[in-house]
Amino acid sequence: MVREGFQIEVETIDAQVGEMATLARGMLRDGLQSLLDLDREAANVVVSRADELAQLDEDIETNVLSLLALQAPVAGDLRRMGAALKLITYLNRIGRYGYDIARMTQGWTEGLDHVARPVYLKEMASKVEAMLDLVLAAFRDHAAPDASPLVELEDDVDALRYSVWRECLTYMAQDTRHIEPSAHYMMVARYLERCGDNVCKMAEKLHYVATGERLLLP
Amino acid sequence: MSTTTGSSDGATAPGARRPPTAAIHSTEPLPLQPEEVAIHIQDLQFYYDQDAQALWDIDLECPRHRITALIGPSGCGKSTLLRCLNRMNELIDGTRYEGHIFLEGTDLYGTEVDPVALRRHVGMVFQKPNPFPKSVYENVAYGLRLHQKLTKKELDERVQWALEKAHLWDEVKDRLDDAATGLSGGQQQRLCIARALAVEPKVLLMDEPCSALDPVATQKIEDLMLELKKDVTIVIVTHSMSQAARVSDRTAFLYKGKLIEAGPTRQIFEAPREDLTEQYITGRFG
Ligand SMILES: Nc1ncnc2c1ncn2[C@@H]1O[C@H](COP(=O)(O)OP(=O)(O)OP(=O)(O)O)[C@@H](O)[C@H]1O
Ligand SMILES: [Mg+2]
Repeated sequence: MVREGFQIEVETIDAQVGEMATLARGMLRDGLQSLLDLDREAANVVVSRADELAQLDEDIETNVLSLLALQAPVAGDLRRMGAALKLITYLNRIGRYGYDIARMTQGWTEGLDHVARPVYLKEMASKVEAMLDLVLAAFRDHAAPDASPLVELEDDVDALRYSVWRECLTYMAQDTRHIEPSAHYMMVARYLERCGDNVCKMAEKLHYVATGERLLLP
Repeated sequence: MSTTTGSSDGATAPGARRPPTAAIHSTEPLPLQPEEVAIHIQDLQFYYDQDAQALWDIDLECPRHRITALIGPSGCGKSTLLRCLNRMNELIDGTRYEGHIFLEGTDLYGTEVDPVALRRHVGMVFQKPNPFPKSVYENVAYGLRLHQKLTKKELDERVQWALEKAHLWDEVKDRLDDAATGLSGGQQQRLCIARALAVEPKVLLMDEPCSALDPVATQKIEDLMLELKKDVTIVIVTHSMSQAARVSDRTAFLYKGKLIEAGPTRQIFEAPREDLTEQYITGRFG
């Protein structure tokens, strides 16, 4: 007795989670780019996508809850649906960090320039994106994400955050006009580091879905 | 772990890299402790005749005062295994077994065990309610008279006690002398449970006890089981995955006469270890 309707509903939810992941990842990338370019137009676009993110979060939650109530999934199906509820929370956070960075761009003092090209932030973001891609590929393949490259990337992100922090301290000590942009950089570095953590949490959930065993990343 | 400081607002110092090892928390269920085990089936083989083996290499433990559910596709041997537990299969000519079944440490198939006395300790309830064609009262009193010498007053008390235990007393106390066959299906099933309980068995075997009942009657039997397990060890065969998940503490999955997997019900339904189990409980079989 293969439950066809049930299978279709699971696939719909999977597709929605994939869609939300693409959106969140894009908001983070575009949000940061808007700040690097001090491009208000681009920031406005990111900010305008927050409603879509919230809507997907709500739709997926509703769909998962009704599937749980009506179909009472078990085993791998149950774990995947449980994970979907968690994944959308992490994805929502990641998208919201992109939104927050875009808001910084919008609020950036007119005429104020970057202190220096914030290369570390760009590098941090590309590592977070690489982590996210690794985890999303595992989600698509119904596989457990490979932990060791993730942990390595996350360590890099943490180390870069420290570099940003140290660099910003020197900027701020040099010139009080550097304080505003530096404070923003430090905040963005903090957001990106949080995004890395969220991706690791996603990896732990997907590991449980795929294997039935709990993984705790260091 | 000690190097993962600075997660809030101090940044992690550079070079303080964590070892890239992840901890895996196994969800492997803890084995039952020997003192929790009421029924221990050891390396059981069962044959209906020389070349009709129905059970292979069954090793299973059922914890005391808990509900163990046997699940699996039709013909996999659930009823056969259940009937091994009270030696009912012996009533069929030509059957043969190998291995051991211990009930509270006593080998059920030991030479000193009398199968009739055994069935007093191991009661059974069947798929179709099967009350005797007698009064409600007699259905419960019958087994008591068989096993014990009781005065009329003692007998009345025990009948009432068993009917109360089976959550049936209030519904039948004014019609104890009526024919049992006049009761509803759900009432008949609870009467059969009362009949089994009257002799205070250690174990209650139930073979699809709700499959002939509507959802309300099913609910009553399930509530009853949860209460009864305070006093008896229950083994239930069910085709309803949701029933197994709702009522049982442990679940054993049988397939083609073999025990594929057994464990805490939560684990079996959330993270089964065997692919066959997963396919069966998610309805993706064959
Ligand atoms: N009295 C019997 N004589 C010979 N073979 C039998 C007898 N009873 C059962 N069998 C066989 O033993 C196997 C297991 O049957 P059993 O009744 O234990 O299965 P089950 O899991 O209870 O199935 P169901 O869910 O349909 O009740 C089947 O192949 C069946 O044909
Ligand atoms: Mg059967």
